[in-house]
Amino acid sequence: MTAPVIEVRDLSRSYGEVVALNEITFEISGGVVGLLGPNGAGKSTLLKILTGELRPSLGTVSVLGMTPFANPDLFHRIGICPEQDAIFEDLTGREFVSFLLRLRGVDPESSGRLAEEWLDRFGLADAMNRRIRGYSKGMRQRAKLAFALAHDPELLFLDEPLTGLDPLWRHNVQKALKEAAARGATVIFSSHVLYEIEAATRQVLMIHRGRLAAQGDAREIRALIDKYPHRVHLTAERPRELGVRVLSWDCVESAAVREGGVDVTTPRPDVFYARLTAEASEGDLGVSGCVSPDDSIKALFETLVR
Amino acid sequence: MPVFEQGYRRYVGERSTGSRIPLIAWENIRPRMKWWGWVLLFLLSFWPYVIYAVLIFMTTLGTSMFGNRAMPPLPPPTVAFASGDGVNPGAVLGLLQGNMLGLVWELLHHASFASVIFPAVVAAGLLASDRRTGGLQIYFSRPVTKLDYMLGKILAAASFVALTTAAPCFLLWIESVAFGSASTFTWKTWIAPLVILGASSFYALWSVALVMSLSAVMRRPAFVTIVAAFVNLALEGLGAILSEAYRDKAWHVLQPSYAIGTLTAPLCGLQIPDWISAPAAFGIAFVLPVTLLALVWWRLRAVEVST
Repeated sequence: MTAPVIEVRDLSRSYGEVVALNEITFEISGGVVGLLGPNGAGKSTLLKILTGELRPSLGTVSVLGMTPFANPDLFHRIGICPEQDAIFEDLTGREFVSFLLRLRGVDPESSGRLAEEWLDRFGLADAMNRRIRGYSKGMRQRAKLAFALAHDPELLFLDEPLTGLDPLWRHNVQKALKEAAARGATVIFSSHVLYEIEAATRQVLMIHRGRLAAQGDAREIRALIDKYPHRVHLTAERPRELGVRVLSWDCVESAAVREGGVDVTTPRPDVFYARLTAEASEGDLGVSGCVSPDDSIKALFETLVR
Repeated sequence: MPVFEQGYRRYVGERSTGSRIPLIAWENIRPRMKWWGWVLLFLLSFWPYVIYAVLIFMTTLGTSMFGNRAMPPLPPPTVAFASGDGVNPGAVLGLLQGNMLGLVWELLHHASFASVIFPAVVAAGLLASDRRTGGLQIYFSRPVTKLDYMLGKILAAASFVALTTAAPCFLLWIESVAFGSASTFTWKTWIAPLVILGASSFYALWSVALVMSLSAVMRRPAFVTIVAAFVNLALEGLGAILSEAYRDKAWHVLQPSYAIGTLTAPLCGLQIPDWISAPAAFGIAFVLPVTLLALVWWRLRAVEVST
């Protein structure tokens, strides 16, 4: 029997009197795993402990057979896409990815080549010589994904990797994660939207209020969550036109123009996201961003916890 | 359009396990050099050198061109702080002809304020920006130790200090060797580069410790700049005011420029004047900055990247 890639036993972490994680135990053996939970559930804290940035207050954590906190040996083998995006703004995208590769020990020539290759893969070929300061949120997100993947890590941790991406890029990134898993990497990524996770994997860890609420197949969780209508906010240049258009889709229950975009309610999120991606890839939908509030997932968690 | 189906070329080359310190330092210097304001600051920091360079020109080539109108040199001082705080052209000419190392000391003493202000503006964000924007998370989730990180940042900050201290001294030395008469070629001329490095290190220690310690506790680089400049100015002012008020020059030791100048004087072949306390100068110019850097290290070691 092979050893688990990640092994967590009775893990707790508190910030002063606030308990962020409470006696979590789980194992991950490989593949793509989604870390699902509403904002403030403890996903980022768990990822930061797994990536060795935070110490556990209690319990034990083993990642690739090593204790992660401040362990450079482990850091050679993992890739991380952090949540925040205001990083190294004075560097160009190419310099940024190349520098981080060189910090990993890749030689200067190869780091430049890899940086160009991966920025190109994430659609930043034309922008790679511009400073990150001028990047949009989606471009920063793609630059972070490029540096997380570029050194071919055995284990990838991605904190809300789809935030700020348009539907087409969400699809491309989900595809890239599957590709990484197909190459043998283990991918752990967090989201508060089940359908983002479901598009990439069936393995889900659900966290709520610092506890592990459930672990298992995403389809079973979706069967529960489908009882609650799912809301999506689409950002668009011409929200009225978009609102009229999505309202004609069978899978859309309601659409309301609000805050430079459209609030959509759908009882069939999987069908909705598939159609959104398909029409966005045709290029005439005009959607520049897609955010899903976590109220439906929160409602599910409340049900599970009860 | 990106092509995700394109062939993926896995990196199979060597992975260096060598020090990351020079890389971290360089990648922290390079983006700051793209900011053009630093060139202006740098030129402003160079004013003592410009005056000295003109004087050297006047005493060498200038004498033959302008005859005896060039300023007569004074006997070179053998004690530090003998020529006062202002630039005394006669004293500079005397040092140039008789004591190159003394000239280095004099130039560093005049550049001491710039050696704080320049790095305070340019390097204020070295730690502060990383703490504010999450850069620490990027560094510490890579095979980079906290010692690598801190030494890389110190090297970057020290490089900025060196631009205002060691760089003009080296230029002056090259200029004096190139234009000087044969009589100036003594062992003191040739040991000057080592002395420049040694003496500049004391200035770097003070400036780097001040800027780094503030950068480690503040999140906004602008605040770091303002507070660093204020602290340095306040100490300079306090020492000057107290020495005037009590009519006792010993209070000058509170001024960083005097404290550092006291430590660098023996290196440059000058005597320490008897009115200044060498132990007190050692405390202010060496023990204090080393303590500040130790506190930065302690803070960095304890850091967990906050959420």
